[in-house]
Amino acid sequence: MPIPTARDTTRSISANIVSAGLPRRQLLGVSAVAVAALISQKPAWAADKTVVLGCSIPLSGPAAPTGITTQRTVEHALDLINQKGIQIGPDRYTIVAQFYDNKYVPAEAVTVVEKMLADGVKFIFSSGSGNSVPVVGKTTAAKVLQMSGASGKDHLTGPQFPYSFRVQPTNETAYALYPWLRSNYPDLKRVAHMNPSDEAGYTESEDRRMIATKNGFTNVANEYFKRGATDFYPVATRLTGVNAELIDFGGTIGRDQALAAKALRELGYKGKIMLGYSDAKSFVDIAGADAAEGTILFDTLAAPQNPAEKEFNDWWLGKYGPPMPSFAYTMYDWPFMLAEAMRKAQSVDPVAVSVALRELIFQGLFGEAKFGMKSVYGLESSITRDIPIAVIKGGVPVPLALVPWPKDV
Amino acid sequence: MTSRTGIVLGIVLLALLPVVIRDEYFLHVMVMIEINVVMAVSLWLLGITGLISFGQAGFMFIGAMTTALLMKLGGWSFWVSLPLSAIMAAVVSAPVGRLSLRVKGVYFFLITLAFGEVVRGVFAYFEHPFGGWYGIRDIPPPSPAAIFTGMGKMPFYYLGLMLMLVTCAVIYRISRSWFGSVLWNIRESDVLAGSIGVDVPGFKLVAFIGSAFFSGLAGSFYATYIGYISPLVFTFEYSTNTLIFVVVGGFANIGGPIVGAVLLTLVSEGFRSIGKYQSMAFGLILVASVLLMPTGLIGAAQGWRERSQRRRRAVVPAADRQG
Amino acid sequence: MTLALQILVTGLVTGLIYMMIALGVTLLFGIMRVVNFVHGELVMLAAFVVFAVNVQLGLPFWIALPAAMVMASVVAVGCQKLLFKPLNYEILNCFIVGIGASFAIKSASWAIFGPEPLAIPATIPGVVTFAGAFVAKQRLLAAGICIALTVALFLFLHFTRPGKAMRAVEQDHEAAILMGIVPENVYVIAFVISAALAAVGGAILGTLFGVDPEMGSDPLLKSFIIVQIGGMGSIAGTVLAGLFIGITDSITGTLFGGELAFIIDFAILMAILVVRPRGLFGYDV
Repeated sequence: MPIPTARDTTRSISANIVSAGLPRRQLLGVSAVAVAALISQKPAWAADKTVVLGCSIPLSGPAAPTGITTQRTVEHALDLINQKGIQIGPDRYTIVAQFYDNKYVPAEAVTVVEKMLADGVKFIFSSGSGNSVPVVGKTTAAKVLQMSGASGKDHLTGPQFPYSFRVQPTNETAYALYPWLRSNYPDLKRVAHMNPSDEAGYTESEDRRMIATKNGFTNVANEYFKRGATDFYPVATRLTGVNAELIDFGGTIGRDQALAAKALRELGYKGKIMLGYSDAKSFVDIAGADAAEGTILFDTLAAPQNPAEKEFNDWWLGKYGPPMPSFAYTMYDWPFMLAEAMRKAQSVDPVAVSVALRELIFQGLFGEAKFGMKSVYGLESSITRDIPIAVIKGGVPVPLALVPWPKDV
Repeated sequence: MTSRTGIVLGIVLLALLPVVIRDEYFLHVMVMIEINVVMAVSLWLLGITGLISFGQAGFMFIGAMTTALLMKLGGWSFWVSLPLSAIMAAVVSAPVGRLSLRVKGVYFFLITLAFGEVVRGVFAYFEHPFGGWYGIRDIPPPSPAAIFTGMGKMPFYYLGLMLMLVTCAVIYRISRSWFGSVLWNIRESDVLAGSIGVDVPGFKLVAFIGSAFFSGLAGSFYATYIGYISPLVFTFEYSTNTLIFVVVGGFANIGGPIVGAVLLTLVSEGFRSIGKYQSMAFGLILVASVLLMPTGLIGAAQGWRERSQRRRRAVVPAADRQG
Repeated sequence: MTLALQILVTGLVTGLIYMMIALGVTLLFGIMRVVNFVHGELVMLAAFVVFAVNVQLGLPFWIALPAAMVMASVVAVGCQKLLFKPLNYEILNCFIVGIGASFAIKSASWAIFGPEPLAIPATIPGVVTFAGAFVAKQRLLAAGICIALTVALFLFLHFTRPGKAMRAVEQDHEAAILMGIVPENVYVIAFVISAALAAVGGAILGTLFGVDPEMGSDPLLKSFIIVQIGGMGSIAGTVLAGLFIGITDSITGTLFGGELAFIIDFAILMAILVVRPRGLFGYDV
């Protein structure tokens, strides 16, 4: 690249740039004004009779499968909701979703939420704790209702965030799960934990270890791995060395689950494996039917049971073809709950809707669902419902149990 | 002089911008532009010497982490943390630079790339005090809190604007000074420069440290503005984006990285709705830029200007066309 | 003792795979002084081709593999003619344009193939044990293929005309021209071979770890580290360095957790660049 010396170019550049000698700084100003013009046009949907639901989800990067599944689930749920519409007084409202890719990077999530807040969005859904936690302060200050599908603790849920709701039991499933394990597998004592080494993983690990101990289990190992790693032999070698009877995969999602299970089995692990947030078919494909056999899938629906689940399943297969990722069911209820809360509150003001949402008892896919867990978080803001459990037999998930939510949590 | 009044006008325009446009999202984008310009210009400073570093994100991270720890754990003021963070980045860069500069070309890229990843890895591995993969949350805004908490993004915009203008002014001065000329000469041929007695490694090291200093500055501002830093942010991809700003903008003078950073940040915001294609667009832009516009946008603009001047000259009557 | 053996075995196998991918990088650099950043994406594309042919079309692996190699070669030569040649193989420019191209290809792959993780079933399922250490048979197959191809490459370079021509160009560009060798043709062969090696690497990684658009990045970075330690342009160096990195990763990964392994890799890279930038064997072949 032939580069002229600095002295020569400067004046000629200054003289050159289009409209009569604009130096580079002013170019900056011009671009800025152009942007301003673009942005100051408010989007057309900020009109009446629609409510915007802004969704900050990972649509690219390693968490994309979750994000894309979320998007499709929300779209279908809103279609059904909007067929009836939400009647508030004389007006009939429909919910319009706007999806933004946060790439699972906090700064992007912040940018996305800033954009939504600037656009006047009042209802936000955020996926992933790394994306939800940095913005909850802002949304609370703006009195915007934020629903998060994420692992979290009191930095996301609690009295200081009255408009923040956790719509997916994530680390919380452990509260229901471990008592059930205790009563169904009385001989099981040694539990090992494996989690991705990030925000979600740490949260899951903390909670699960604590709850396991409370229920009389012994935690024999607590391993972390880099999310998206491919070779699980090193981690699996460490885990096979501790003679665990059950390995809880906690916050591990996606392909990591299958590769870890495969590595564990290849290295001779004979105990139980438990995981959630899974797409059963993909798990079996990648791990191999042998390695997958006997894996316990928590918060996973093996096959659609009731009409609502069947409708969702059939719709998905019809539109996107197999496989239907089983964790889509766990994200299905909350748009309906939001709509119902709006109806009850007879308002689209987020503060009023928050109050209604908190008191709502909803008949969801898995039975009764409501926001609770005041004993843990100080405010009812994390969803509680029955937890379906499946197990892999012969390469397919088979329903095992429906664990009721413990009454004291 | 046209350029000087032009610059002053431009600065006034920028200063008045938030008064005219009160959109918080717009201001947010402007702040990101300010940060990107500082990063691009600091990379350019090093680029004058002919060296391309892929570790800018690493120094930015060091600056950000220093500020985060000083402000959050130590309770120190931002105004003290800012220069300290930049200095910390510079201090770390000295030995790194000494070692890296022993190799040239491709090897230098690789070593800076490696450094960036090592920084990330170290901060990611140690949860205390670096926050591990969690990162560090709730980094306080600068004091006085009344201004920086109560008035939205505007104060940050001005703070970033000042940082950006100061950085550009300093680097511009450096590039036009005797020091800068030496750097240019080293780029052309360091053998030649060395043969006339220039302490080539010494100059390169100073440029390296300077570039790290400003990256640390940008990182410090980032930390207090976003309030949340983590190893997921300061990646190789981030360093590459900075490089794209400079390559697309052009190397010839400081206008290049500025133009590149502004334009491409705007482009990437415009692409937000089709997020998954953003990477592809950037990749294609980079490829097209290197193949078709090797001197960058300002180089191309200059070439256009020279060609049009030549055309004008061709209209001169034959009688005046002497030899 | 068992643990040590397990670590060693695991490390050797993964080391061989990364070594083979790194051979492509070192070949290109030795002959053309070009660092091909697209190499990682060739690994990824090949894995997708194997998936498409083997899983979706149902054809056997031994048909899918050559198909992937051909496709990778086509893409590689395409990059050569469209990207690197117009830049006269200038290092810095090629590096940058390669990065851009790899971003674009990776992103296109996301868009086309979607985010669902895909898997290629193992060619040889099952596990083998000896002395208490476990190895999946598929990993042994992978190791075998890598060793075979490395030997084949060595023979090619030392005992065939095109191979010798390549070594000639690497040793002395001008002299090679004087001997009647057309460098451009040699370059094409180099790209084809390096692409083929990358493709085999991708196919193997696909059977072991699944297929996804990001899968090329890690092998590429590891290749850089390996090639730097072994010496750019040296086959022997790459082989040794590949095994070294594989075993080191296995040790650190098993004993200290996976992330430290990555840091240590890069720390080793920095150390080598400082202590002996030429690597173990410099520019020899």
